[in-house]
Amino acid sequence: MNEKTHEVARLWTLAQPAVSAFVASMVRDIHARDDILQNVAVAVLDSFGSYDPSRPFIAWAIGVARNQVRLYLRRQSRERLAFDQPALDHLERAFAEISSRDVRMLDYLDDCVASLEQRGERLCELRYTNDLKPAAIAPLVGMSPNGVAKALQRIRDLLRVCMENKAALDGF
Amino acid sequence: MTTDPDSLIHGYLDDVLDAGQIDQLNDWIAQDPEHARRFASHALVNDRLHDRFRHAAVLRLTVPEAAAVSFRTGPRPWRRLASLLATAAVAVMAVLLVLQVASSRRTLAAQAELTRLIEVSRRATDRSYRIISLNKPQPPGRPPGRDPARVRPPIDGAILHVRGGTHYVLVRRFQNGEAFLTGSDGRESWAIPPAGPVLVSPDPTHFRGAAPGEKQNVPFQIPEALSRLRDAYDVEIEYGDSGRGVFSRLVARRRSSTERGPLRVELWFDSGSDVIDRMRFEGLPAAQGAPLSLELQLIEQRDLGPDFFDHRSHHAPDRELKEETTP
Repeated sequence: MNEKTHEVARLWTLAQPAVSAFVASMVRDIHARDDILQNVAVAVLDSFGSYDPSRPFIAWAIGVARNQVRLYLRRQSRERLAFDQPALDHLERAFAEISSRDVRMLDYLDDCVASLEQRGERLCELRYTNDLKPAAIAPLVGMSPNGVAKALQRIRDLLRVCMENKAALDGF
Repeated sequence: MTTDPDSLIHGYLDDVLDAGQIDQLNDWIAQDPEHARRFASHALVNDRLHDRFRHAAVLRLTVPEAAAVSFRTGPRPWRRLASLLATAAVAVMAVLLVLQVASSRRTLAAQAELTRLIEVSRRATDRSYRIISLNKPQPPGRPPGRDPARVRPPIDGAILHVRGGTHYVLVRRFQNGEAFLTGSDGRESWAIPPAGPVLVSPDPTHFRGAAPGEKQNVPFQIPEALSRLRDAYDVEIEYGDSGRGVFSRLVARRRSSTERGPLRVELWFDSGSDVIDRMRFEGLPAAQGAPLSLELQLIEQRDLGPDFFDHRSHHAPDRELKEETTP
């Protein structure tokens, strides 16, 4: 691996969580996210020569990701992005500004998932391992779709609080 | 706002919002950068949950010892293992990224080139190809007792003239030299046998079924054929040297046995002009006998004139016309 490739790999590894979350929030399909993220990685490597090191790498990579998302949606003959330009501008900036602290906090996710009740963990398995939406999960767990959606929201809020508390205990 | 922002964010991530609620969320985000940061924060956790649960499912298959560790009573051993795996995973990911990128780059380059070939084939001036059958020669001639208008000569040696994605004239000859023509001007299609009425259909695709391979999803409308490669085939490219007259080569292999079309397609083209010089279709399903393999070789590129694809350019003006209605 030459020095340039090593540098790209290092920067990409740091940026990947934010870029991945950005792409996922634009397409909301995990398999589409994977496809697009692969294309973003290729585009980042191919165009690294044009990257200005005085700019934050994440912001530049998010810009590359935005273009790949548009290209993907165009190829799929899909309708346009859910967000208009003003919202998109804010979102690009917000994802680019995701801090290293926010990313490090995610290291506690495993511990926090482990502390969920059985039903909560089951809901997460169905939602995230099986990639089912609330309407498909509802009959499997004997709840209404709205009930599942609310439960997932509560679970994610609990996980966030758990991660923040653990990060605070560890001093960051 | 009729729904609270956090419910809108979570509802969006779970894809349960209706169009009106998505608009609400959009407007809320557009109001204030802080709202966008709140959204991004939730999206980050949601995205990591996808990866965490998918990876855990993989680990359960490959690391049974780790799955046996008690989550609730001994966090430290699990954290050390998870930390090791995460560290190793990052290093492996970095290497895999490079390898994946190299392989992905070739595939993406091939897809990009295919897209260019499609665009050029739609815009290019008229082109004429000779069709060569790579199978054993078929016996020509007319079986006795059959309607001469319904008997087709073999495809080997035929000439195909094309314009863009909609116009074509296919000229095939019997062993005695008599010609059988089929074609379309984009508005209607037609067939001109050696004798008898000229058959005309308002369906521009009606007579495409007459050619071998047409029913199996390989039309001789070249942009359409190339577009199908992009959708259902794995594509690779080898670049030649346009300046030295060495053609580039694109190879497409069908991904699934349930897809229709040839098993394999090769294109030789000038990477400078993106004009295809030769196309080979292998493994076209045939109604009878072994699968067909055909090669189309570029003979010439020239403007064939405004009326070439109209059937009236190819028969006497007083020839009987008959509207074809049978499918």
